[in-house]
Amino acid sequence: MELIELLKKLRAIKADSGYTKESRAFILNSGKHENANLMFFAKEIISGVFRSGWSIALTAVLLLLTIGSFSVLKVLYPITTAVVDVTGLKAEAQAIDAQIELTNVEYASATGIENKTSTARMALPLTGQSAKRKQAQSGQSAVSAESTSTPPTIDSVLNMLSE
Amino acid sequence: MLDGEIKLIESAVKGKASAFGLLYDHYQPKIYRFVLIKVSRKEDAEDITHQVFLNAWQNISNYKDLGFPFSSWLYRIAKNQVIDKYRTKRQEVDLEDVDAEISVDSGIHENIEIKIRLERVMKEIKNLKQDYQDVLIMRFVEDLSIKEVAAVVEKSEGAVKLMQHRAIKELKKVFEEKHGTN
Repeated sequence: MELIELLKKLRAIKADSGYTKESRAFILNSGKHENANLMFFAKEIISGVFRSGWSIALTAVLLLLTIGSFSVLKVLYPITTAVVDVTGLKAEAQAIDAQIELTNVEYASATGIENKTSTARMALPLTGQSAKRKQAQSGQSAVSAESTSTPPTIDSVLNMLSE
Repeated sequence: MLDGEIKLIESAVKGKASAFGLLYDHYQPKIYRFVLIKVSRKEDAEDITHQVFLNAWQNISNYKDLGFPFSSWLYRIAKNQVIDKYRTKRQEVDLEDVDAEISVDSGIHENIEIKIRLERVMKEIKNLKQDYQDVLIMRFVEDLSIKEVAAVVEKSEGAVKLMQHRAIKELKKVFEEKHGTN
């Protein structure tokens, strides 16, 4: 019991009056509460906006604008969409490809002639058996070339030239 | 409870400094006592008490009346501040050193014997568990009700009664062992 009486006597403890005055003045003049209040009100407004369903409405409008933008453009600017002719563009592209192929064929045949003439020119300085063998080989290749190549006129002219 | 406390709290929540000033005047001595008995050092008690009221003023907009007195909210802030202080202080100062600095310099000493006994009580309270300290100080020094204490320590009223019983028992035991009498 005496222990509890001792504890009750501790009630007389008081803070230093100078400290109390200073601390009180500092806390009440801290001014941070105003900022806290502003933040509190800002928070309330934002949460109120969210609560009232503005966010849902805004999202719906954005979705409508995104999905419907293409059809709206089509209605507003029909010329821009009509100008684009997909089939015409396709045909044009195919035509360009065909031309390239034709030129490639011509180029390939032209280079074939040049190769054959160059090998013929290289074979001329050879003498003796090796020269004869070479000539026989080139003769065979010429014959095979004659039998396989489609434009016979060019090959025959080349054979004539090599002989 | 302070007269017209509800209106004062409402005004303080709205940002009226003078209303909070009145709350400060009423509760500062209680909070200071609570803190001083727990930490023993006058300087620490002053720092913590200042911080408690500064925090309360800065966060008063978050205060909600849940049926407990305003003091419960302040005691809870104080309790947490003391825990934070101990957490950082434990690394710097040994608790044995702090014991030597216990001071009850409030002019309450009718004679030197009472002063010595009060200092002994404070020293032994400090050696109790945090929850026991809180319950003893709030129940016997501050004269708070079981319900109010339960709100501060966030436990049931039954748990507070049990804690109070154990705390007194332990304090008596320690006191008798060390000083021969209670």
